[in-house]
Amino acid sequence: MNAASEGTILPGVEEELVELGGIDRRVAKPRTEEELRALLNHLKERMARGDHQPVAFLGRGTSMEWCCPSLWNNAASQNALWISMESLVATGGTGIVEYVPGDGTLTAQAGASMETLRAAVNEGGHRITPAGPAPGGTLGGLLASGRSCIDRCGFGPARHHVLGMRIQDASGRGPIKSGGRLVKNVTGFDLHRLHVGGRGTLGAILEASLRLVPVPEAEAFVASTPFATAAEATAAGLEVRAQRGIQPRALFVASQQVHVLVAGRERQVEEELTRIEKILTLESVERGPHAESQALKAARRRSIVTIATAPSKIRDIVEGLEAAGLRSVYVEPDAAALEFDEDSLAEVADSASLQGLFDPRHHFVNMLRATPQLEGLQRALADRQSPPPAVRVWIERLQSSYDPAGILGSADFPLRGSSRP
Amino acid sequence: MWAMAELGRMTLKELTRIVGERGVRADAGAKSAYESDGFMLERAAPSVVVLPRSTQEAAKAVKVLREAGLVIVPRGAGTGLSGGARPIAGGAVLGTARMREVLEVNETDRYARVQAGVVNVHLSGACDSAGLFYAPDPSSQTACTIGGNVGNNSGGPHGFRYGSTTRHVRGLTVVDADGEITVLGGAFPDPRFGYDLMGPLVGSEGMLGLVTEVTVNLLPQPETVETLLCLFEDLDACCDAVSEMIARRLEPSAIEILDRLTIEAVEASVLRAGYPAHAEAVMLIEVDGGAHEVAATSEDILAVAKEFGAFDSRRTTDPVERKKLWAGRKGAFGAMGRIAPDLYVADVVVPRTRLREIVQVAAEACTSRGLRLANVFHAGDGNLHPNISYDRRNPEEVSRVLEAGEIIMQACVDAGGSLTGEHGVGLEKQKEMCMLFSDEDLEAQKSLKAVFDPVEFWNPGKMIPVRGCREIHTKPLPQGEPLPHGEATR
Repeated sequence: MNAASEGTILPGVEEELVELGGIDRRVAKPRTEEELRALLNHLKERMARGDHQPVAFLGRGTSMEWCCPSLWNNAASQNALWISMESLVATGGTGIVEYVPGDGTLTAQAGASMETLRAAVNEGGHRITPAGPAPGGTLGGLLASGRSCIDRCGFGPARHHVLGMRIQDASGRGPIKSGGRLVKNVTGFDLHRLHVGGRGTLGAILEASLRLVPVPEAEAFVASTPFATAAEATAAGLEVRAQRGIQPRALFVASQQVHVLVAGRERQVEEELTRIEKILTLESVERGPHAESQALKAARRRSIVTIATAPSKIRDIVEGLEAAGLRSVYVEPDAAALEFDEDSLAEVADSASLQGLFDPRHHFVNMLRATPQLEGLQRALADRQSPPPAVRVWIERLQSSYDPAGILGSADFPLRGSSRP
Repeated sequence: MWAMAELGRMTLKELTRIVGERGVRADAGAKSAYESDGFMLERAAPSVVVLPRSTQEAAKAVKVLREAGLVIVPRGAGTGLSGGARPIAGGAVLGTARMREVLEVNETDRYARVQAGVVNVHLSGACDSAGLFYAPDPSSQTACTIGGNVGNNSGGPHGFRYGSTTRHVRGLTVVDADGEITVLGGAFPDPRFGYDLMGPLVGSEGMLGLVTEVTVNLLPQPETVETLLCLFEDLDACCDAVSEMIARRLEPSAIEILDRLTIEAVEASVLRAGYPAHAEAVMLIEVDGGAHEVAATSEDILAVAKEFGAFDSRRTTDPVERKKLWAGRKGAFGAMGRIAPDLYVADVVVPRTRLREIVQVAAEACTSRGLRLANVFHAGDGNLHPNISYDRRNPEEVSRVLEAGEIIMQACVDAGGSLTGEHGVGLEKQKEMCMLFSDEDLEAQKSLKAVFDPVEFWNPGKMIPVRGCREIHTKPLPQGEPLPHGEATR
């Protein structure tokens, strides 16, 4: 880590060269919200003079490959400026603005470490959902990435648990508030929802308020014995999902095994385990406080392709992928999401065998990056998956309103063809 | 500023051609039904009421109305309490009363696709045989529509566990100001839209476009449902018991409170639920899930209630008994018609640790102004509904009601609460937005409105104060100056 105080973008805002993902990156470290606003205004003025500085907000970099892969992976983008949100958290501070155990709500700065927040609310008998996905991240990074985790099966996606935010957009005005800190509140438009999964392209999340979930009395994580194929495991997972008497907190297929996390009152958990055993032959059962962390570990993956569909379509698509030579696929039957990593493609001859599997009416395919096998598929899907005209206009106007100079524009998001880069 | 054009004969003819004679109401008698919603203190008639039967008809009607220079107020059943579904002056009301078709119930993928005018309770009925249910259940669910629920991000008693409408919307069909139809989301989450556009559209009070169809999430019916009734001699203790249940992280699906005046009104009505008249407060709780889960949670809840002074309790899993207990709660607003000709229903939210305090503020604000207050509220969510009885023919009493309402809202905001939990801002709370938001916050909200509706065509003049907050707080209007809307009757 090297100080880069000379030649900083904006005098007074500290910068450092920080090695992240194997590359030395220029990181601006605003200490206050005023410094952050001044920095954004300065970048806006430079942009108006035709001096474009690639820029993105940075938590700890754990989701950057997902949020802005072009900027993150491209060595030529070493000139990019990464604006740290962690630096806004006071030295030695937790970033917690307010934790009200009696109300089950948490408000914290975006740069707060998720580990710190999880530990703090755990002491009060609560958990944060989503439970993951990446360890070591920040609250702002987690929300800006919009990624949910295995616990969406029980609690829904991450965006459903965000009660409100304070946001610094790039319009030049001061921080704005949307929503609040209450579990129920419909006052004003839910602007904050645009920032969950917005990858920081409409502004920086300064603070977010979350609805928490109680730590359960009992919890158990089970893994089935491996099935011959992921499609068979998916079918078994769908059978678990169909049982009214089983309410999984997490349900996923990885390595041809069905994994289920159940939680609640002790007797209920045991009852549900009995019911699960009628469907699955269990290879392992983990009871107790480590069940959730075991589940997170089993679900860990490095996907380059994610596919969204409906539960009724999921088995067919898994079968098709396996027939095309895909070695391993991760499936969440309830969320109807499936993913695979680069290694799984080793035996796939070319993407032609994959292209026929996807119908834009029933599937949506998102690629982190195109490997040689996937380039054809990416091209084929680019046209099929383009958003409706009105949506393009809305996206364009959203960016013009909250980032009129376009300093936060991304080549990766919104998806190609949907708006300006 | 929006223009209020007159309705021409050619426009009327064209609208009639599109939606049929039954779909256009331009006579004074028919239009009077659309002068207000549940917030009856202010009224204004539209120039015309248009009732399309489909998305396509709605889109064509929108083009005609836009061409004619008439703005549109989208409207479901008009059960909202904030004046959001009534016109300011003139313009068109575009109602979904004839869009009542459940288009699809998909048992495997657990969703339903419905027209916006489908009545909430009819949706639950439509998916019952598939063993599924639609979770948001506003008390007005026998009348309110799914489109209206989307507009206000409505909740209901079971929102405590299942959340408000926004958590259950998978897809929307939206008609924009150009009359173009756009489908967002659907059977599965669709990341093509990049940003979560449905997030701000839900709860936008008809100000961003016209929602004509909705795809909603359906949930499997729980294995066991138990309803509990706990009786208290003291409303404060009842509130404290709820705060304690939340603090102990108990997870029922609903926690509701009714006070003595509400109990009396319910018991004197056809909706009699068997609530004991001698109780000062009734806590109605529902627990659902697996049998063991329900049994253990119910035991814990009853223990807390007893600890906080509940002198009696009942519990039942019998569907008929349960329905009867809930009928009293769901019909409470209607039953209160016995107390006075008009009812001002406040809709405010507070942190769940501050329930008792705000209930006391509301009681004091009403008692000191000689007003009768009844409380019936979603205690588990901190969503209070202080109901003030009044007679609208008495202007002096109306002004006391509004004063009490403002005191309650301010107390909620001061306690870290909010202006509305499920009925929206509309016209009623437009000025009070400044209690909660700065000018810059509201500018950002205006920007969002302009993204979807740059021509101020949809439900103009609602929610966002016309004047800046600083101006409202510091510059009382001179006598006789015409008032911008939203400040008209305060």
